[in-house]
Amino acid sequence: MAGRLAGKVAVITGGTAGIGLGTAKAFVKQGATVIFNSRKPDVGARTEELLRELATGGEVHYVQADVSVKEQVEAVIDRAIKDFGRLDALVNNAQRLVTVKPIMVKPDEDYQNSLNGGFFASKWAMQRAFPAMRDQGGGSVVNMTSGWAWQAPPNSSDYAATKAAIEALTRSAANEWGRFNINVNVIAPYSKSKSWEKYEAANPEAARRSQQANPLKRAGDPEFDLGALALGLVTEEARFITGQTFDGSGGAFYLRRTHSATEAWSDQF
Amino acid sequence: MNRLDGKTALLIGEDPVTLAIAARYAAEGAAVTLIGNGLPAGADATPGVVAIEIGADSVDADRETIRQAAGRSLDILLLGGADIPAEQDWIPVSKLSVDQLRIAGDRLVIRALTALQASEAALRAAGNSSVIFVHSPAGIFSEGGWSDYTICYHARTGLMRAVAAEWGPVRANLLVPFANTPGFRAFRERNPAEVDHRTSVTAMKRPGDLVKDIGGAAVFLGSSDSQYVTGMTVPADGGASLTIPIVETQMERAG
Repeated sequence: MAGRLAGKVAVITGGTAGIGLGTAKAFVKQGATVIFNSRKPDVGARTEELLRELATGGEVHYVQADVSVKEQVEAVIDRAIKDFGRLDALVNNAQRLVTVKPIMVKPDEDYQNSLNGGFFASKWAMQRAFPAMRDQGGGSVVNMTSGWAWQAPPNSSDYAATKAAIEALTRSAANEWGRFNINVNVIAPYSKSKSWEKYEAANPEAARRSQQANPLKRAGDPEFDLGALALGLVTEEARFITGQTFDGSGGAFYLRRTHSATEAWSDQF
Repeated sequence: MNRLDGKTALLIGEDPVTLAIAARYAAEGAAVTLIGNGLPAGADATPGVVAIEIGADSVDADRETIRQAAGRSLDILLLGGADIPAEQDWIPVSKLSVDQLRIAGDRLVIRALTALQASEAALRAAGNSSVIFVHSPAGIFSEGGWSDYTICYHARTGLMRAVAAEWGPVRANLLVPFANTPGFRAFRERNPAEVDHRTSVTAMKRPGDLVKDIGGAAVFLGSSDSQYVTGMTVPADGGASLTIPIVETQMERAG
């Protein structure tokens, strides 16, 4: 049976690790042609090989690009449109890392770098993708935000502001592009990563408690939880869902569940 | 198609959205049971859907019917809502009687609670199951004049959040349609300028098709695509919830 994205073309930024890689895996397994980028060409080449082994009918191509540079992120989009004549799904996953400093000592440059590597990266990619999506009769954009845009922990104000800006951009684009059958949504993920795995190895009990407190009892899997969510949002089933901020954290963000009364007190009911 | 092959789905409700989702789920390969009080004629003629009529007399009898229909393992439980009421049935809060509130509460809250409790064991047994509440803008915004629905849909939000917080890994979400239902069409017939303006300032500029758009969103929420999503309000509304028609004029100017 043909995959759910057979014949479709997708661009995924930051596709060599974490949720970007998980999404790329989910997409190629469903038959999509995937163009992805990263800054490091050796990692990109290895990832390209890995994804090609998983692919079921679509092509896989790596483009070296730093998304915080306008011309470079545009080149990633152009590769999809010029080589394949269409772009069905754009996943703006990449986000430049930020510094850890309080507001009072965080310079403007840090905020600009964060915005360039996340908000502007998404905006430039979306602008470059829009004409093709409009002309082909529709498409999907999935952006990435964070629970930190709402909780705003100390020393990450640039990151929080960038992600909040991406959410607003998502809603604006949803309103402007819905008439062209383009849906635009954003995901706030909570996912395992190399850093999470190091933390779990060093602090197994704390990691276990943290996962137990999550309503779905686990940290997200980059491919089977977050990649699957991105996949769902770019398929026909979600075509009438747009402008939404999806809690991809197993309920941790929206439910704000710090512990369960039923677990703590169940023997007293 | 065949996105729900091998899945079992139990839908409780008689509203047009629930009926359309039942048809879509069956078309996608799910084994569908539809339970309602006052199901329309022909509900049991939908291919792949087993329809069971229940009375409104005994919560315990209904609970047992639902428990048996849920079986030993249940992948999707969908709790239906209500179509848009006609204007003469709108009740502002200053006129709302306790009995009227109880009627809405029985249908939108008590029946949902009964169905959840009756299905809990089967949902937990399935391992990656999904509870979907068919919701309403009355449960998100403060729609004036629908006080019974506004109160009861907000109560459903609390019920969804409680299930999502307590029953993991069973997940629970709200599905908020903006759809071309009979109630919507009738309301538009009586208020064409208002409805057309409302629709024109939505992102996708149309109400949803019950099977393709709303049914599609229900497949998304019932499938493993959304297996890490719980506690959410998911509008399948073409962006209708993003704009406030009375206040928002920029959408009109954007044409």
